[in-house]
Parts: sequence; C-alpha cells; structure tokens
Amino acid sequence: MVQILVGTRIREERRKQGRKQTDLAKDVNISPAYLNLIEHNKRQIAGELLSALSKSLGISRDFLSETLSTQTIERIQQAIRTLGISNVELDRLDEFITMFPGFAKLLDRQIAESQTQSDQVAILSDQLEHDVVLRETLHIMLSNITAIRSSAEILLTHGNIPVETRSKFNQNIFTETKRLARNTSHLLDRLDTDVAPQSPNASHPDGHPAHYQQPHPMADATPATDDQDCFGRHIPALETGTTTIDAVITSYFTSASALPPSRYARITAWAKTYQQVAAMLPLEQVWDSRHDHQFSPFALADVTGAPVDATMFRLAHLPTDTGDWPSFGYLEVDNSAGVLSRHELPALRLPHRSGACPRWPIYRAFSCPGQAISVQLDQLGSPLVIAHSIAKGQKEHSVGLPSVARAAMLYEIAPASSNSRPTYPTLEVGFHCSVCARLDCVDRRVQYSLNQ
Amino acid sequence: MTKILIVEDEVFIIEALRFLCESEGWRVAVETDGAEALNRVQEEQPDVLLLDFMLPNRDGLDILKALRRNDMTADLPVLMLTAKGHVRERNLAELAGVTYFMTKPFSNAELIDQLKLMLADR
Repeated sequence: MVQILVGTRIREERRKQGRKQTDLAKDVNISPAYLNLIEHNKRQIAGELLSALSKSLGISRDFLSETLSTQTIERIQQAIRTLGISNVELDRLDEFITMFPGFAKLLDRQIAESQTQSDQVAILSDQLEHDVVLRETLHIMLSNITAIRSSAEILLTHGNIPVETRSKFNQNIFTETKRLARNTSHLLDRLDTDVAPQSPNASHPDGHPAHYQQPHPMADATPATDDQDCFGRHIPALETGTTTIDAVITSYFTSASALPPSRYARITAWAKTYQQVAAMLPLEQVWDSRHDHQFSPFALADVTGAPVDATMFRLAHLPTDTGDWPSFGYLEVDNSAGVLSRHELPALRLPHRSGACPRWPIYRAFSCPGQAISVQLDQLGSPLVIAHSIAKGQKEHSVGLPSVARAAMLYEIAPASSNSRPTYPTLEVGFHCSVCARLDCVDRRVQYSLNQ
Repeated sequence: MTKILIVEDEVFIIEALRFLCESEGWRVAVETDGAEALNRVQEEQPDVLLLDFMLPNRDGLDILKALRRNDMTADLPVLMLTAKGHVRERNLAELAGVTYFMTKPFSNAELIDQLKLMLADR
C-alpha cells in the first residue's frame, strides 16, 4: 500500500476552508514554517499532530492517512506508458491521486475493465478459431445466407426469367431459409444447454451466450509476455552485429521511447540473444548444411555442436519472406505452463497466458527433461504440424528440490509427403479442452463448451 | 466460347452461379468433389476457375497450390470463394497465388464484374 501525500491534502483542505497557514499552525501549536514544510510533503506526520490537524480541519484522520494500493498506482502508470501518450505528467501522479482520489479510483477501475474486455476479446477470438463445431456451424450458416442472397438478387435483377427458373429459385430460397433457421436454432440450443445446469442466472441482457461470461481457463495466470512483438522477427541488423542494440530497437519499434522499462529490458535481452545466436549459427552455415539437419533443431545441434536452445532460437528467426526458408512457430513456457515467449503460426494457435492442451509435447517434455521429442500434431480441422520439444532445468538444484525448468516447442506446417524429410509419430491434440471436440480424450480436464 | 469451371459443393449456390454465368453467355461446367477438381480442370480447360475454399475430400487451397505447381495451369485465373472471411485464409490464398479472393455472401454484380475483369486480363 502507498500512503497518499498527506501534506498536499492538508493544504487543499485548508485552502478550501479559506484559512491561512498561520491560523491553522496556531490552532495545532506548531510554527507556520513547520506547517509549510508539512504541506509541501517535506515532513512526515503521524500520531497526535495528525489527529490535531484533522480535528482542526474538521475532517477524519482516515481521510488524511488514506492509502491506495501499489497495484492501483502501478496499473495507472502502466496504462499511461502502454498508450504511449508522451505529455502525461507521470511525475505528478502521486499529487493527482492525493488531490483526486475518487478520480484515481475511477481511472483505475476503467483501466481494469478495459483490460478485462481485451482479455474477453482474445478469448472469443480463440473460441471462434479453435472450436471446430462452432466454426463449421457458422460456415454452413454463411453458405445458407449466400445461397439465399444470390437467389434473391437474381429474382430482383433479372426481369425475363422463365417461370420454371423463377419457381426453382423461389423454392431454393424457401428451402435454404428453413435450413438457416434450423442451423441457427441448433447453434443456440447448444450454447444454452451447456451452461444452464451450472449457472442458472447466467443469461446476459445483451443476449450473449452465457458461457462466454464465465472466466476463461487461460485468463487467470501469468500475464502475457511483451516480447511477442519481436520474437520471431528476422532482423538483418542483428545478424551482422554491426549496429548497436539500442539503434536496432529504435528503428524496429516506432514507439521505443514510450516502452515501459521492463519491456525495453526484455526486448534488449532478446536482441542480445539474437546477436549471440546469429554469431554462433550464421544463416549461411544453417543454409549450407540444410540437407544434413532438415531444419530439425536437434539435428542442427548435432551438425553444428550448438546447444538446442540456440538452434531453436535460430530456426524461429529465419528470413521467411523470401520463400526459401521454412516458417517456424515457437513457444516457451516455464513449468507452471506460464508463457515466456511465443511466436505464432496460423497452423497452430498458441496460448497467450498459460496452459493449452495437456497432450502437447511441450508439456510432456517436463516429464523427461533433456529428451528431444519430435511428433506430428493432428488437430481437428487444421493442417498437420511437426513439433519439436525439449525441457531443461534452469539452475542448479539442491538436494531434494529439483530445479525450475523451462520447455520450448518449435513447430512448422508438415510439408507435403516427401522421401527426403523424416516422418514422425502422430499425436492427436486440441487447443484447449473447453474448445476441443475430441470428446473421448482421456486427458480432458474441463467440459467442452458446446456440450457436444 | 468462354468457359467457367465452378468447383463448389453447395447445390443452391451452384445453381445461382450457373445461372449468372450462363446469363453472360458463358459455358459452365461444375465439379462438387475437391478430389476431382484437378482432373476436371484438365478435361474442361476452363478460361476461369471459380473455386470454393472448403470442399469435401480436398480443400480449395490445396487445389490452388497444385494448379500453380503445374506449368499447364500455373496461369489459370482463379477466383476463390469462401465463407471464411478471416485475414488468415485470404493471406494463405494470396501466398498460394490466387487471382482474386471473394468472401461469401457475395454480390452477384461484383462477382460477375470480377469474372469479366479476369477474362479480359487473360
């Protein structure tokens, strides 16, 4: 907790009452000079003097010594930095909170609500992306609408249609409208029946499906990392090491000066790693030996002698825009499944915060640290993906207490069958249980949202 | 005579597309099975291919990639239709070499105008 500026509040209250410093100072038996120091927050006060001042001003002592949570202040500071507004008086934030505590609380609440809404949008987006049944149902409904619209437009805009043809299109519209009504009703039934038994009061005045109101399983844990903006970017200036890291960050992040220090530090750390890995594994070497490693991070480590985390980082930062290099996605998590770094490919969505499907190899890697895992992921309704994973301890362990571990997963869309590429065992996976239609999955931990 | 091959699996959409194309005086061939699409292209030698994104047995994106890999069909104008309006699908289709991408539900007039442009640009 952070105490608000007591002196500022005393001064504001005194001025509001039209009293002079000498008058108030005399009333509480201190010198006007000392009161002046208090009002400019140059002297801390408590105890009897605080009580005397509050009594003289006719306000409660609690009002003078009110505190605001550190979290509130940090949240306001973070929001201002994130928005990148340069002319906000951040250095006077304490003063603002002291003078306008009600507004400060209101601002904090609005920031929190805005964050909640952003999370909700991300959740809904995930839901639409990964829920196979929902996606397919919406696809069918759009097809229904397309047929109705095109048929109706033909009837409206083509004057000389033979009676038989006109009748056929009328019949098509009628049939397709019935299908659309049935599909819509079917979809709503699924959404409603899922949550009714668990949450009888969950219906929303906006008519949103009630289960969207429930906390998302991924909305609770580690905040998303900020370095996702840079992770996976190929930066030629970092390959050569001829430019300073600060210059690179300034040229690649348009609002670099407004970046919060913590984020700037993370991006700097990423850029340093980039330079080290690029020096260890130059692009030319990776390209020239491609027939030996086939773009597997483990084979690349064998061929070059570089550590596996370096080969994974290298392959996640290739110049894919030329079309010659494969595109890789990357995920790194700690052993609480909190996301540390992510670079997403459309073929496999990645969690923003924490755990996805427990069957993913990145989570299984924790049960066998140091062992390389390469599998082909079969997701319902999505392209096959080849994923390479490995976990390793981060620091020395003590007796009886294993070290904290991290695991990484590098993945790419499985290439069309080719004799020159190795084949891997197939693993059936989803994105998250709540949006996964593999109803017979023995590893399911929460109910499927649509209660299929 | 101009020929359009429609690869689409929704019967009522096919009927509307067929009517629209035939009203322009174009010949129309139809294929509903994604797995047969490439054979039909070889057989019909269309001037433009109207290709749905989601098809049974082989999706439109895969068909498009196969067309672009074949010297005989690499330059065939392809108008891809999809009920998926995501940027991702559009990007994938553009990377695969689609000539034009249109989301469902579409305007008949815009569809025909686009086909005319593609025919003129051959």
